[in-house]
Amino acid sequence: MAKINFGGVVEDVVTREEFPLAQAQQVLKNEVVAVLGYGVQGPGQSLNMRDNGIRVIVGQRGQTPSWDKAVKDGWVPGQTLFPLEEAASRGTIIEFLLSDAGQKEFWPKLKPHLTEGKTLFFSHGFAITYRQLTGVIPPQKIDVVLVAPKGSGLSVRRNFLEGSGINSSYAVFQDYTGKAKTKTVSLGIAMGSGYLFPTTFENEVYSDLTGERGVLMGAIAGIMEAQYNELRQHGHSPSEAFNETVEEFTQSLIKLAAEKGMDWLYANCSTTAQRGALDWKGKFRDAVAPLFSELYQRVEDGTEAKIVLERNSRPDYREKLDAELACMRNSEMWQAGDKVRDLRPENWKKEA
Amino acid sequence: MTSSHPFITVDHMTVRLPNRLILEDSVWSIRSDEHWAILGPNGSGKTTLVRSLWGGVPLRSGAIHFDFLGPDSANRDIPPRDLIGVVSLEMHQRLMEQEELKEEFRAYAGEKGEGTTAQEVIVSGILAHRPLTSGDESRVFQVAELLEMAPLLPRSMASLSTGEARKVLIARALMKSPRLLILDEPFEGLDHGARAALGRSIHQLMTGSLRVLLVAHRLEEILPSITHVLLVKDGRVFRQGTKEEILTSQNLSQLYGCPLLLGKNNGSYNLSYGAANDKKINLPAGCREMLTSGSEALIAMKDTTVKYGDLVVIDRLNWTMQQGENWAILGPNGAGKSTLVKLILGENLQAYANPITLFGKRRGSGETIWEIKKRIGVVSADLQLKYRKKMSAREVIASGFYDSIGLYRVPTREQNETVERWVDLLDIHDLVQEPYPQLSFGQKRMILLARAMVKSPEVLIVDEPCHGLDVANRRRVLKILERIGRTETNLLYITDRPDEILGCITHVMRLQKGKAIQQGRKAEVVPRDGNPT
Repeated sequence: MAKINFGGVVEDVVTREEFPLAQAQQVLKNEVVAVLGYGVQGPGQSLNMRDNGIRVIVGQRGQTPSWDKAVKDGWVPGQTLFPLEEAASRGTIIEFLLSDAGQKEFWPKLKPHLTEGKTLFFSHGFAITYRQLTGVIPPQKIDVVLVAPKGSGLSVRRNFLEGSGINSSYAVFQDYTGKAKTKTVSLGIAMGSGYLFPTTFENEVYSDLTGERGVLMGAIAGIMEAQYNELRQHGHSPSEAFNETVEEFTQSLIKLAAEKGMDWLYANCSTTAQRGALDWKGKFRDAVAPLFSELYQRVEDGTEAKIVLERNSRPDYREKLDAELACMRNSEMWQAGDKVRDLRPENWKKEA
Repeated sequence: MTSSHPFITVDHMTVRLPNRLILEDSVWSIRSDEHWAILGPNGSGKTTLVRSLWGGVPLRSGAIHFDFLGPDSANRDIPPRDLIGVVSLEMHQRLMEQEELKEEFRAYAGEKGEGTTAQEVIVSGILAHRPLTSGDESRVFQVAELLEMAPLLPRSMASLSTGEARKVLIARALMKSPRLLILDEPFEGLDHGARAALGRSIHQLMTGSLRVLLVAHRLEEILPSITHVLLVKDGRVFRQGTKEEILTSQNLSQLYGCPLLLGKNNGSYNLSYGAANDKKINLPAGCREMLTSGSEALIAMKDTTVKYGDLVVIDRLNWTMQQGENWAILGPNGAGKSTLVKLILGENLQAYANPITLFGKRRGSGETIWEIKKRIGVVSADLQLKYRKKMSAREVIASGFYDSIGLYRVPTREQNETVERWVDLLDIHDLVQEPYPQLSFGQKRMILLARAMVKSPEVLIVDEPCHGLDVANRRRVLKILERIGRTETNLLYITDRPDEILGCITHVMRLQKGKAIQQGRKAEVVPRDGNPT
């Protein structure tokens, strides 16, 4: 394992140079990976593992669009594609990729198939970390492990095909066979990871839930709305308010931070901008700090998990979710954004 | 003609590209009774020249006068985009990329919904400039009738053949009733039938008041109604004038830098190669001459079927390619040629659902796609579409060692030397330093051929390798393939042109609607005259 220094803290990182694909194949050569759920992460991970020479089968509810997609992707019903329970009984490593709410629901049916020596494999620490809520309490004579790719199912697949890969974190919750870690790392490499960062089930899910509720999705949308509304109240046009709130950020500035960090982004702006940003950065940090504390607390004590399980298992959760997304899409700010995007110079519709 | 007057005047124009100036001090005048064709080698500046006409590239100096706006127009020097229609390979490529992306999002984000329809694409030609009006809908049908493509309107873009999609783009350009229609290589990638149909449609358009500007690669694409020709060479306007005056063997030989003979038949042209005096091709070491033909089956397919719902793309195909055989796969657009290639490369996932054996190993029996890719080189439109990375052309070639899109490892010195040998052989020194995305369509093809060959693959799949290549490069590529076909690398050559089947090809399969309608030794399938039996 490579010891890598992250800003003063040393972490153990597995790289595919030190753990090549051939080794992963060797470790997994007598295993059958049953991927349960062909939704968002299922296709990318199962296709990558199959393309890497691992024996993979897919479990999916029949007569669903996902089942048809699996057939289109070359999974053969009765040979490599089965109903969920049958796949679970045939697999030695069972990758549980149903939604968090779906995992809770299916668990009683899955449990009987987790016989001695099998591996229960997750991409997310939710079901195990909140096991008091989900009821996912694994039997003792199995391994329970996790590999969480740091990207969407689409990037998992696309990066693999381009020959680059995606980074992932990995964790072992229960090591019955004594080989859980090697198996986990092998699975990570087989699904196309470049680097594998160590974590725990708890840390994976806490950071994930905090991140998406915070800076990655919740906080960013919230502060954008707040600034947009303020600008509009002072008579700025929708296009101007949107450009100064979102467009400049996504089209230009954040790419600089991605390249070389935040100081690089700052350094590329006017001194007026730099002065103000440096002064206000601290104020914003301090203003939202209590909110982040509250958020982390609610993630840790399971309040957030409870909401997810309760709301996302209602029969009409999909329609409700769609309605809320539509509400955001139809707000003035994002409607303005739609037009602004149309008017980007590189937009091909504009060409001639 | 009495009604002839200036239409567009290019007045001492110089164009600025990101890293250099091009077409310096160009002068050109198009009159209202003329239809022009533009010819020139790959990367000479043809596309840049036509882009300048609609304002797609910035002028460094000089001007373009759009005389057709009238002498009193105050905006005579500003490209009137709503009056100029453009169809280009780039545009076609981008549209297909967008559709592919949408399809991927649908697949990986659980989104539902259909892809964009032909009609939506056609209407988007208007939406770029103004909101739709009631007249636009009848215009859609009018345009579709004119191009003989009305049945395509409700279909999704993803389901159209290349030729059909090309017509959709032309219809889109016509929606705004343009005065000038720029067709940048409209015939590229189309099969014989589609080329003829498109030629008829373009000819029909030329009879009206619309002026057409046609960028072409093959002389037979210069339609009889073209009146004038402009030649571009090395980033400069090389010759211009009437068709009769410009299209001579001498001019064209100078243009492409190799001896060429121009033939004329019933108003259409063709080009043949003159006496060959180019240097002997020495393949890099590693491409050993093949001494004996082996008996190992490289590729074997049994009852192979690819289908999407009810749509059958490959229909119970039985086919074996043995070591020592070079195959040509012949067939029109939509025959299943590219699907066949994707099955071999493992890019079509239904390979796992079929009894396919590659290099003696049944697919899905524990091999990795990387082990397969290592033994197969590929040049195809599909790869070119997917290869969009900001990197140098030399790095693109080196990525062939790892079968990656993008270069994620540092090549060894030996590998770099192999790259250089292929650069020499393909005569692409000028290209390899350039940023790959800035190369022209045909130049990228040359780079991808080098990328496919650096690893001396056991099988080289070339899917329409000459698409987008100028006459000189086409000749060069065909000669090199001819040589490669006599080495340990076995060729799988995909084409819709029986006249481009190489001498080294030993076997031919004709595909139609996913079925092998004929396969066997070349002499049996394609008699000497080159036409299929």
